Amino acid sequence: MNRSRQFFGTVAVLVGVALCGGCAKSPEPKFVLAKSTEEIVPVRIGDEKTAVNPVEAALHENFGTPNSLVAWELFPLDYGKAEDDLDHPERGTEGWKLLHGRNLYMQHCVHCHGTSGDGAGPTAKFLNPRPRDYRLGKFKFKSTAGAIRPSREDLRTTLEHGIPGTSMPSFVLLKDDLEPIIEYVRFLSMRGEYEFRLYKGIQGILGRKVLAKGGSVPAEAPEEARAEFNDGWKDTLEQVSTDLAEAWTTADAPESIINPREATILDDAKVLADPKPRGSVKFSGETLPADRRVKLDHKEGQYWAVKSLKDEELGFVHHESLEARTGIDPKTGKPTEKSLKRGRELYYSQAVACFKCHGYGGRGDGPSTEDFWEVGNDSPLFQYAGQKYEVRGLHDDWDNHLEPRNLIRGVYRGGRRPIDLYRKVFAGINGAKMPGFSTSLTNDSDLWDLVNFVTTLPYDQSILQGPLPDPSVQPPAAPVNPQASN
Amino acid sequence: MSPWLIILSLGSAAVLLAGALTKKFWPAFFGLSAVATVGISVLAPSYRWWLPGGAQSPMGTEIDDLFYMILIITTVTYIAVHVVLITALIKFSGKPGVKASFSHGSHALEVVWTIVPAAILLFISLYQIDVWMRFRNFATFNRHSRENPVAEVTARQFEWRIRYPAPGKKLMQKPQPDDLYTVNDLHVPFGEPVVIQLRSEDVLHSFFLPHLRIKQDAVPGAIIPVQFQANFEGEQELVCAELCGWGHYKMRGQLTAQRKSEFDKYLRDLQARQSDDGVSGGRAAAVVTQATPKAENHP
Amino acid sequence: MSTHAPADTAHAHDDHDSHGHAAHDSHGHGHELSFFQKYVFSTDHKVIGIQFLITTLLMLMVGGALALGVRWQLAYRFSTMPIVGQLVFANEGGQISPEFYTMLFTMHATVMIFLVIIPILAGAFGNFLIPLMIGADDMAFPTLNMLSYWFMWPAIFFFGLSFFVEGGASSGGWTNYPPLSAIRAAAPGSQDGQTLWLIGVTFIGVSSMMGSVNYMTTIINMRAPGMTLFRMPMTIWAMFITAILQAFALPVLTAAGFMILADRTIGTCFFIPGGLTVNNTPTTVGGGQALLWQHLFWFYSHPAVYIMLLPAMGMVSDMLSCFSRKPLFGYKPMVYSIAAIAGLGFIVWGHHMFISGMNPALGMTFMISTMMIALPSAVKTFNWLGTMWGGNIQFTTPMINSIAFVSMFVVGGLSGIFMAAVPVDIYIHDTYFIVAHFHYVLFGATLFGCFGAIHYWFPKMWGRMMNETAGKIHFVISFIAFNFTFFPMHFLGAAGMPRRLADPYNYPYLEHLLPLNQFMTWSAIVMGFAQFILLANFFLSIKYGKRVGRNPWNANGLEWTAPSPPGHGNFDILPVVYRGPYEYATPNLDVDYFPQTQYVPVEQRVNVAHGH
Repeated sequence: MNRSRQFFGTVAVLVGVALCGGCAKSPEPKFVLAKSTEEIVPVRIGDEKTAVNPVEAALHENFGTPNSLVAWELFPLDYGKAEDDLDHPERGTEGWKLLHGRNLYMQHCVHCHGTSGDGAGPTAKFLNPRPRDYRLGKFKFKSTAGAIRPSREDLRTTLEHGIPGTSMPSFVLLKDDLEPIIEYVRFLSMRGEYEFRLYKGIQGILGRKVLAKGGSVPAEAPEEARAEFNDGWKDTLEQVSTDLAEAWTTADAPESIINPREATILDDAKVLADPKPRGSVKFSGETLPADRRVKLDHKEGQYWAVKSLKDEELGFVHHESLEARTGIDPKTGKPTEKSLKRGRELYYSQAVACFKCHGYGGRGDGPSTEDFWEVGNDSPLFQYAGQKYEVRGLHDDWDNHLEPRNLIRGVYRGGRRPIDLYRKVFAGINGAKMPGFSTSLTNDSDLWDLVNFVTTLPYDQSILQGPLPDPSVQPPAAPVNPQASN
Repeated sequence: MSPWLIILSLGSAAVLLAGALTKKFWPAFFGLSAVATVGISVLAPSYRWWLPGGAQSPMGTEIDDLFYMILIITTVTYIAVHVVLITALIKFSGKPGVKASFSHGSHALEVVWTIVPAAILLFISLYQIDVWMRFRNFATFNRHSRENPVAEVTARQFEWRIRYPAPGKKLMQKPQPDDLYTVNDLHVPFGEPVVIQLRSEDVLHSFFLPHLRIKQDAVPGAIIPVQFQANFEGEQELVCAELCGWGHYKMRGQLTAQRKSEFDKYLRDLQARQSDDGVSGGRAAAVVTQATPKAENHP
Repeated sequence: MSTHAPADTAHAHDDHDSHGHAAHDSHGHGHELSFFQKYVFSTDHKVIGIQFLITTLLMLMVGGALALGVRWQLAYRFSTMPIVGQLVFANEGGQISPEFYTMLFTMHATVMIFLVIIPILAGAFGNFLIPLMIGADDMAFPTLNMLSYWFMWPAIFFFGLSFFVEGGASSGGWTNYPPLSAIRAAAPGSQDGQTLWLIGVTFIGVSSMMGSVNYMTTIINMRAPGMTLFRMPMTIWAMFITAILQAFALPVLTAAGFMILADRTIGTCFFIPGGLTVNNTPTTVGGGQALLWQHLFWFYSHPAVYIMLLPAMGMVSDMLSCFSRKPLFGYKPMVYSIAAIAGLGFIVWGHHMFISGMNPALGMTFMISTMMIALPSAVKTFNWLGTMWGGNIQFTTPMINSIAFVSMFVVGGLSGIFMAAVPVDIYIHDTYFIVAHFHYVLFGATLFGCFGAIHYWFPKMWGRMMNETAGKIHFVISFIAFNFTFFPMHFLGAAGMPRRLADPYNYPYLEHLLPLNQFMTWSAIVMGFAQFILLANFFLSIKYGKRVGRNPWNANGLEWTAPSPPGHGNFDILPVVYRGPYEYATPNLDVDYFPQTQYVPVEQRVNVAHGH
């Protein structure tokens, strides 16, 4: 009996120990602070008695924690108003969309993009390229111009299609769940940007030195210094939040989207393609009655013959007006020789100089990938702005090593539609080193020639060959073999 | 909680108690486990712990039939073996002073229980060959679908990239400029055998259509044709069934089976979307070429 | 225990050799051994066997903990995982990362297969039992034997270390199919963790190979006088054939392991096809073949499945016969079955690759050979039933574990027929049906067999019994929890739930399986904690167990004539064997057992000799 008691006593103890280990308090997910924020020494804000990290306090107040989100009305955020929806009772609570978005994010996205959207989830360090850090408010693949934030539609496109050539998979099957995720990503992005902007604001008030640990502590500073800080801080908070709200509102405005510059002119081809035109349509600047469907007939010198289907009348349209726009031969649907030639000319020109990054053979191995580049002002390492990276090659604004796209592979991260490529050539890629050419190439047809050249490259590398247009541009001594395997 | 489960657990307790009281606890215990195993298997389909609905492809139906055939044979075997086992446990549970029968075996029995299972096993395997060959042997595929694969499905970490030929064209092994691309959503015409070309861009994946009972590994470096026929109109799951890395579980796809006309329309819409250049709502020429008149209309 | 007269004699006989002076008895090994030589770097097969046993029992707990991690994720996907989640993934609220899940199941399988099942069968029981059961005083190569144990430790070290290197432990599943395992960029665990895995497995391979050479030599050369091949207990037959299997299959795995190591480190491409873009790194060059690994791997690992089963079959045969108090039914068919399983085991590896895209004609031939391998298994099952039928069954802990072995093996064997049939396998391949199948064979059969064997031979190891009540409680909890955990996996498989998904409910057609999975997880947790009973019983019984004599079970084998625990050199005098090991219930003896060494005067022999 004694023996049995010993057995079971020991077993009970072992089981007890194991259970206690398992039932410790479960941790809550938390928003991680940026390194720069952690540097800030605590200050006393307003009449508060205790010193706090002002940025951390503002973040906590305005965005909460992952388990208790704060939706700030100031921001253009659709956090989900309570709805009386019998089909979806979970929509009955205020902020349901953001909460739903958070749950989905924590399930589908957090492993790579991290709890706070800093692109540093547990899986992130292994991925190539690194997952996006939303906190800079920068997104590479979008339809909006320059530094404008992406529209909701852009984020949806990325989620639906994934990003080919990266580890971002497609989430197209989440369907209705995409909207809440998009809202939550916007929320995280706003929160992150808010954090960085506040840091810069505080830097502006106090100067860098004070921020660093070991500098003079504002909490112990004389009254007037504190009052001065408090005033400046109040202004900063207001300024940053207004700026941000405005920036994210602009993102969804229709005028932020890049459209081909001539798209406002009703395109002739669209008329030709429309099987059931309603009302009168404009064709080559001429207004036609609605029942007069027209189609291209044949080419005649500089002109296309246009035939009206209604009364078999023939009209003539200037040849160039159709082709010149997008450099596409309407008969074959393929880029014209001329367009490709011009595209090549621009590719190797000093003004556009695609070859500098994308390489003489289009393989993303241009001379600039051999240079040492400087840290930019907007990167998370902005404290080191102006210093050079230790690694050769381009770096993006997130300080990740960046490889120019290999144009031979036919993998287009930002989408493979002509309009997607047009936008890249027009406005560049935000956060990456790809510049936009909207100012240097004022003629749209030049942009389209580049697009045509790039889209043809994967299928026909012979278009790279020929004498180089600019004698100052010379390929390296070793011959580039466009036929080599990709 | 179904009443059956309550009955099952109460019954189990009663049997064990009775077993313990009659000093037959262990026969009762093992007997109960066998009965419970069969019982829960009978109940399982009512909780949908079973095949996800009837197979939605002709080959899937045949596979289901084979599955049920084996299920019947194995269930009978299982019950028979356990009846003997439990009977032995009850009948021959140890009594003091009793000696076991002294026997080293029986040649006749050995012969019987070698030949009978051998015959059954051989029958099962020969019976399966036909379906297997039709699933995997390329030569048995429908000629038209074999020569006109619907799409190329390229598995990659962690998504299915799908490439269709442009409407009216054949799928080429090398990508063509006018190919159409989608991701994770494979559309096929329903009611006819279709062939897809399965590839992998990085590691092993497996193209698994659970509702059609179709599975084929995607092997890097190989192009494997897979034939299936969707007997339904609508959407079904496409699953990756071979471990392909950390995001294996993310690799969810969808098979959409449509009428032929809708499928063609889907491809045309895809083409229009993909050739969007923001100028003409679809790359001008692609649409215009269809309207190009014959030469004799020259004025 | 049964009350047969000679038990008392055994007791009396036993009093003077309790385990104190066991290490240096009257065999002329007079010199004193240091503590290290005696207990750590010992060349005594019994010490090595016990070292293996204790190591594998501890590894069983490690492997079990990893399995609970897997189960937790399947029941509460991406929620706080106890301990690991709290320690490592605090920022994410304790939810593990998906790659950690892949490491959990990979290392669970690795630990269970390479550090538990194979070493507990061949290492622990093989070492402990072979010399004792064939009447040898030790293994043929004692130093090799010692090395075989100590080569396991580098493997344990490397497997453990792999969790702490950049990227974490190997995450390609225990099969580690390339290119996932061959290309560093393919998964976090495919970085240094994978290399460490390969090195670890190589160490295990060397360890097994040393054991296997030793077992073959010992069994062929060192049998006691009269111990003919067909008088060997089934355990020894199983160990012998297992050793042959190991010796022929292992070199293939080791070679394949080195090939993949070369692919990973020095840029060869045996398994890496050209033109792959993995994790957006530069395209691979080379003309390797990914399927080659599967062929090589399964050429070892399918026989390895039998390496993981046959010794348990042998031990269970011994226990069933002993506790049915009846001769083993069909001794020779049993031996031939084992041989047939081993032989066929070499030509069935392709059934792991039915949907891999290999030639369909191969699929057919592998289906037929696979179906045929079910035959000897069936024959063995029928013979076990025949053994029990007409017996005088004593429900001791070893016996109930052995009955569980038979019952569970039937389930595992029958579910194997589904996947042997190729068309059905098209559907159930890589689903939980497979997981159910091999857990029924490896846990339901092998491990329950091992639990039985631990209780059965424990008295021989320590001269004390394990606690029967604790043993039975452990069995009942383990058995019920085992079935609750693994039987529903058949249903999951039938419902089309693939293996190795960190979040199966990402697929809507699997959502309704969540409650079932939660039930299974809690069963698994109960099962895991129940093993503490076994551990406690084992370790406390070493000190506090009831003292017994040489032959507490009244069994026939040679090992029961040696002292408990046997001293250095095992036997008092060289045993002479007169008959096979299963002569229970001989009609013309008063007792119901008849030790192999017991001499029978000529006039009595006629009656018993028609056996063996």
